[in-house]
Amino acid sequence: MSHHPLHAVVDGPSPDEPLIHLDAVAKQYGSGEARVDALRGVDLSVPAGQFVVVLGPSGSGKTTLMNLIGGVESPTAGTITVAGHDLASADDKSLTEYRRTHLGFVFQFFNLIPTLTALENVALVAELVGAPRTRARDVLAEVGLRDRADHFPAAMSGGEQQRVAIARALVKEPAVLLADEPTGSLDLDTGRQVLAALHRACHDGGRTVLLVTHNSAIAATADRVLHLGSGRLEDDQLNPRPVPPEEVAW
Amino acid sequence: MSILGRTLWRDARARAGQFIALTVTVALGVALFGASYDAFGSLTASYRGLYDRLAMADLIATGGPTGQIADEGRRLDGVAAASARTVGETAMKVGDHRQYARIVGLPSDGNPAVDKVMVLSGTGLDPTRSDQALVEQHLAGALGLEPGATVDVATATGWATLHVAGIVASPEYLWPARSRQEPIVPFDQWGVLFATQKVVDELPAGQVEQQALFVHTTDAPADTDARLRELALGLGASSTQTLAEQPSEATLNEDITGFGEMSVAFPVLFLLAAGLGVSVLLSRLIAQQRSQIGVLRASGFARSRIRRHYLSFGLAVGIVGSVLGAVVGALAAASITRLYTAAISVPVTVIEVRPLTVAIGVLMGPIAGGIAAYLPSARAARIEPAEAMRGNVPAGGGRLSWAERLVPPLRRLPVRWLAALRDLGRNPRRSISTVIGVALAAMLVLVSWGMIDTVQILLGQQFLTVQHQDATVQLMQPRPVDDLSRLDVDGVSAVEPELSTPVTLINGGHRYATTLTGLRPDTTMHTFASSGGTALTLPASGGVLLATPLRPILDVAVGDTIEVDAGSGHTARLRVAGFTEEPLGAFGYASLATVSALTGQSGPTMTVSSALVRFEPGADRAAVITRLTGVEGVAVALDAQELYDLAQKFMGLFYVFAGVMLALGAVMAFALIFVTMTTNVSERAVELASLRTLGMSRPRVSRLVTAENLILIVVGLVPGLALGYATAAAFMSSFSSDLFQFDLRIRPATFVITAAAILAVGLVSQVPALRSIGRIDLGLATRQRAS
Repeated sequence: MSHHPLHAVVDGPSPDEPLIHLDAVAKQYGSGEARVDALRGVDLSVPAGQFVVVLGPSGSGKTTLMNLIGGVESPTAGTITVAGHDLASADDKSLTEYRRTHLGFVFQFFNLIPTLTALENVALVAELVGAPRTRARDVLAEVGLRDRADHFPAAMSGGEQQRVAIARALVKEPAVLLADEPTGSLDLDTGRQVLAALHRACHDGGRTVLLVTHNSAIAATADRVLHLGSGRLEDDQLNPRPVPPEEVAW
Repeated sequence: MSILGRTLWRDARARAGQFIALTVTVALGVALFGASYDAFGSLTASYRGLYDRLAMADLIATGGPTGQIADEGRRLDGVAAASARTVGETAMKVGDHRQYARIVGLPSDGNPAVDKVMVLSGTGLDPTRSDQALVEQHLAGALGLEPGATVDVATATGWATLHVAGIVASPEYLWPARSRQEPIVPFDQWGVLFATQKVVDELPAGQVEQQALFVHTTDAPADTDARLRELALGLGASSTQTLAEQPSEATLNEDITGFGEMSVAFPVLFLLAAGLGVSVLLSRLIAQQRSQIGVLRASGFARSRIRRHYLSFGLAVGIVGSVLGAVVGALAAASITRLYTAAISVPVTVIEVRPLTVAIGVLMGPIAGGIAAYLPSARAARIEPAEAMRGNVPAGGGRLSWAERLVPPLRRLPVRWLAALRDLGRNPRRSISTVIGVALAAMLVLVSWGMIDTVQILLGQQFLTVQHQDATVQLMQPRPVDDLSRLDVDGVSAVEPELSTPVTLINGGHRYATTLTGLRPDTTMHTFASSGGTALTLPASGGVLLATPLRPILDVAVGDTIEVDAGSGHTARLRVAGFTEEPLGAFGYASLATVSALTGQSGPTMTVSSALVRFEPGADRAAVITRLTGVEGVAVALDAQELYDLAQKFMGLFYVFAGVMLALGAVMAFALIFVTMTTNVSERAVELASLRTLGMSRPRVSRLVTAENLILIVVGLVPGLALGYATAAAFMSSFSSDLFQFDLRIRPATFVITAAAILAVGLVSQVPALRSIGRIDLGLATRQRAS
């Protein structure tokens, strides 16, 4: 597959276009007998401002789907368009620029830099996009960690670390927030706090959130729930009455 | 091979680059040990073998009734043989070429009991003839002399022709030094001939010395030298020289001692670097395999088995490197010995491969690898199964860097810079290893370049600042000082008389044989200055200036009076007027009048046999020398520039040496930085993948890692340069003697060049690690916990 730079950066899709659009996307790993079909022809459209939960058992292709939308991996077949950018054939430099400008990532294991304080972890990304350090402090306050700004990750709880990770993702004001099992390593109360922070980013900040999890309870809080199985999109349902994060239990 | 053993090799294979880098470092250390130690041994054996074969003198007594000294000395316990001889210095010519020659008297059969010669081509002296000479091989090589050729030597009555019977090697002139004060002499300006006593007897008076020579028995008591010295001085000898003090032996000994020192220093440096690398690599391997260790422990593997498993990783690096290094070292030792003995024309080369050297070399690597691996292995053995099976340990606590604590405003730096600063303290062992590696490499490079700088600066000082003559002119016969105006030929701007004589300087029990040079008190041919740079004046009478090394040798101070013995009963007591700083030799200086009186001259007209000449700027040096040689009564006119040029030529060897050191330093720095950097990136793969996923470009991540590395290199350079300076100073000081005064001088630019070279090596060393950043699977960020 030939890779080329993304076409001219646009602010986003036109109002009648979806923010995220996947057309017949397939992803294979390996070859021959060792070949694994992680995704097999997935079609998907996600409008701006939607909170989407992707469910599915291990090996169903959830993380692969997220990595493709995140521009971390490229599809074997099909097209992916996010905020007007064609990701399928973009080169590494363009994908880096895309991730920097449009995406926020929240990882299961937080992946904060242990030698930087909470504020500095967020400010590192703020510097990356040219935002002032005060913006990092503000975002940290938005996730309820104003008083923990100068603490190092090792001195923080898992929930706090994950909220720092969310602040780090939000500080560059991305159009899309991708969260891979963000509550996977947290207890219920902490998980709810993290979930609430993500919902605020979506409903108050107008961002599209794609949350990958195998925890079906979280699906109750989503605007839309996707079910993946064996690399295929098996179910796609809108949730007319999302439950507030504080009310879910698992 | 056990399953665990197989995993060991797979682990090594998975880290082939690092394993090879460390193995090569061990191999270099062991090879350098074997090469330098065996070369040291083989060269020593080559010299000693020749000394034994040719009965090299263990002690030479000069002056006094040498026949009697030899006879009485022969009877002393521990003395195997003794002989007496006469040695003289004169001018010689071969065709139009003129130079100085030392003529060593031999018995008529050409076979003395001490200091024999080895005929390399032609024959020995014919006992029935007195017009023959044997030519020392270095002189023969320089002038292209072969048996059958003729040379003319200046005698008291004019030129005498000698027929070359053979070309010979002499243990006394393996390194053909004119004296301890003149260890380097161009062979086309000075050389050695061996002739019968009759020839030496015809040399001009005042240019010959009587000597008694002694060879010890193999089981000679330790005080044999002392007893012989006491006997010789008691009978009237003016000075004695032990084997170690003889110029050839002293110069060669300094040289090969360097091999001995290197055989210790190099292995220490390289094995230390390899050990640090093994420790860093193994620590990372163990951190990665914590869960595997947990499984093994839970399955019943004893702690000692775990410890042995990881210990064997260090041992493997050491064994592979050692075996490789020992083989290369043994081969290199033989080559070095052959090249060295060929370079200085030692006729007998002894190559010895010592099993003990090989055995020590083979053991060095595993010992170093084992020590380096011990602590990480012990830590692995202490891991509890439950703890280990929890998986990777989350990253430890962060903290402010030392720099930020010392300079709080640093906290306002861009966060990426703070990250680089703080990452230095994240894995102190790794950071310290990098710093030590850089420091060792910088030290290695600076020591070698420091030697070059020192020698260059001191040569410049000797030939440009201290000595100002362009040529030395030797006359056939002593001439009145006023007569020297004849030397003011076209191209000459100044002529000054010089009167030199061999003397023994005596202060109580301290004696030193040297040359006393007489010059005008207002001489413009020589600058005298103290070590502090203060100008000194040659005393008009009754005083002497001494070269700085003579202060401790004679245990004298300014104002003290010393005895000066010029032989043949001529002595004087002179006051020490000062100590003059000169890089080469340890001479004494006095006024012409003082030296003239010392050598027994009397009468209203002072005569001299040599003169110092300075040329006009831009003069054709060769043409002026030819004109000077053509002046009636001139035996030799020697261009002073030639000695400077010869010394500069020797610098070529230093450049080769420094180049090798630079290469070795680069290999060492490369190996260690490569291992620490690749380990650093491997350890932080998830973190770096996260940064890339968050939108940090590959060049920016590379710059972040490079910045950390640069800080470590700079931190390592500071102690490295300081350590290098101190080591170079100690190294040069160990070479300093009355032959050479090597006070370390390093040009400021050398520090900059060394730092730049190490920095360049550091930057190149990290290229593989930076390339691996480009290959990091970004999916790691979503799948794995950072460690």
